[in-house]
Amino acid sequence: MHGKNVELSEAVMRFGDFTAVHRSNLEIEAGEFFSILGPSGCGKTTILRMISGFIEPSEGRILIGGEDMRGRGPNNRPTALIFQNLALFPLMTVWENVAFGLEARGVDKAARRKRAEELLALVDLAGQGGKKPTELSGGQRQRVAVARALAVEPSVLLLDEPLSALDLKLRQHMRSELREIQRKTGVTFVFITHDQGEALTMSDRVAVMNQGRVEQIGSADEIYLNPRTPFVATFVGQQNVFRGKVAGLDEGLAQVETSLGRFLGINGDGLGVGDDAMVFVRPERLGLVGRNGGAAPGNQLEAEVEGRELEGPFINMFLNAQGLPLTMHVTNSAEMPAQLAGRQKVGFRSEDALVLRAGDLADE
Amino acid sequence: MSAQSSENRVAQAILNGYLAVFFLYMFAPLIVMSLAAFNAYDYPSVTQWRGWTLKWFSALAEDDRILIGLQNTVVVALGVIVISLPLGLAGAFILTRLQSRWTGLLYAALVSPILTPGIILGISTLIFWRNFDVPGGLFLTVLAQSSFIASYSMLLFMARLQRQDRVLEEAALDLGGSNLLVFRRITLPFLYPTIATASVIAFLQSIENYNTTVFAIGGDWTLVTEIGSRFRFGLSPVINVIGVIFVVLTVVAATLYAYYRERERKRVLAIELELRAMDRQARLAAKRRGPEADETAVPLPARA
Repeated sequence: MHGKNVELSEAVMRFGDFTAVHRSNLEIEAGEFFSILGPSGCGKTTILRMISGFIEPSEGRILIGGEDMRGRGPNNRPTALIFQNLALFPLMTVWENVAFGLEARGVDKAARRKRAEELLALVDLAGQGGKKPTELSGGQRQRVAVARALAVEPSVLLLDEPLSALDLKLRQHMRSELREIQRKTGVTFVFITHDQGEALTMSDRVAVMNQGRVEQIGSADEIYLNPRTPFVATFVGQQNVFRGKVAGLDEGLAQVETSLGRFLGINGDGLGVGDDAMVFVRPERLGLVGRNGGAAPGNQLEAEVEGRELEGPFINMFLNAQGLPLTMHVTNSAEMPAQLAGRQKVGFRSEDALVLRAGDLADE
Repeated sequence: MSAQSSENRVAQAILNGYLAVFFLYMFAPLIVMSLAAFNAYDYPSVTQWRGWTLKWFSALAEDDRILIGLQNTVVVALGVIVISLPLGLAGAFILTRLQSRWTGLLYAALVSPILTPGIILGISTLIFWRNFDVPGGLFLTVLAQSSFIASYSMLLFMARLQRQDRVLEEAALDLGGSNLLVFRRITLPFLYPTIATASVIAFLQSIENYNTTVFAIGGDWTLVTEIGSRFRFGLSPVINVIGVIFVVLTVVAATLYAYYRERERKRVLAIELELRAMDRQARLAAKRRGPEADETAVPLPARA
């Protein structure tokens, strides 16, 4: 098995008047673990179905390994899809499930059985081939679905939120398991999810989608540390958002005039004076002024402590700054006063704040 | 307390009385009919009792018209199954898989034979095929009966197909299955129980049919049309013997069915209990191994 690259070139998908995927270009490298992350209805499943061949793009092309896939159905593409509900065949035994792709290719029964057992061993299910899928646990069924998809030796494995049906513990276990299988086989994985934790921990690269558009593609670090749009900034991780207008510029920094004061942050969009802007500060970058290094002068504001949640290593502080709710993570250290309450001065360093052109936020 | 229990007793008595009347109403005619088959009197009767006999059974064995009629009945019923099931399945596929604004109209058209009086189906089949010089007979009877029995099959198949998880077919296609393979390995096995049910219903609908058959049968006859025609000359207890045989067959079939269903229910229950026990053991094992362990990593008892 070896992975192939996948390319969406100017691909558009319309259903009647509704555009599910706006003109998109996407390059997924061979052998890569690539995730498409976005809220439900953002078009990520549509992209997956276009790659697998269940639907043809209204415009543009899909290329796999450099070959144009137009006119080739799902049974004629070097892809295999793992469905959200796994779609194991309930009336077949586990090994017949795994060997179905081989049966479709006319492989004789003895060879099918042998190959199925090998694949079941690969996913740590040796000797379970004679059972029915209903006689397996959730995690085992998951691995049968992976083995069944790998049986056809796909160059690209497409996974449509396959972990969403599992409970939390199993989900975390399957993350590393899938990553491991991907490394062992070298197949290109395209993984669809609305769970940012899944996308960030498993993937080489992540594409974040919103309303039929790819907003940003990058490594987990890039997506989290340098979001390109307000949507990505707020969809991935938590954010405090201040709205305002750019009042001044200073060597890659922008000063934004907000209702809570003037804040200085990295000018991520190259904004000019007078532009509508948003200042994004992560809860872990917000701090109490006068403690642990403190904050740069200017990026300070006063806020009322409204509540706190102990997370263990840190405390979630819920603040209210003249009606604007803020979240701040405070390290749970010995110097922390046990009861933090009342009016506090908080702030952030300008290099920890990102200024972007005002736009749609992810609604939580 | 005692008032309530006496009230319960009254309710119980009324219910028992009702059941007794109900069963009497259902079974009294069957009992009378069956007894008459053993009466040594030339007409079906229990009031004119002339003593026990089995001679009507041997009379049946020598009654060629009845035996041929029975044979024709079975031939027609099998023919009806062969034609109605594929037709019904095709209709069910179209109605459940393809959506257009004509779907509702097509559904009405395909179901209408059920609502059409059987006489009209019989007559119109006869008239239509006369144009092609096909005379009344077993063949036309098969076609005439199929025209409405196919609709019943279609309704049964539709009910089944609507419950199908279409994703299974997509998964099979994605794995490289041709449409034919997907139909044979995924869709057809899913339909097996309905094929069995639809066959039984088509068979029963066919053998009991009179209205449609009597017009389409021409010079041939089935058991039912033969019995019908004998009414004109008065019946003999041979007819009752046929009735007794059918009653016995029905009771035997129903008993066997109930027996196998009960056995199957127990088998499924046993598997479920076993799975539950396995789950419990896996959970316990996971707990012993600490927070890092989870159920997938635990070997099942069968493997350990």
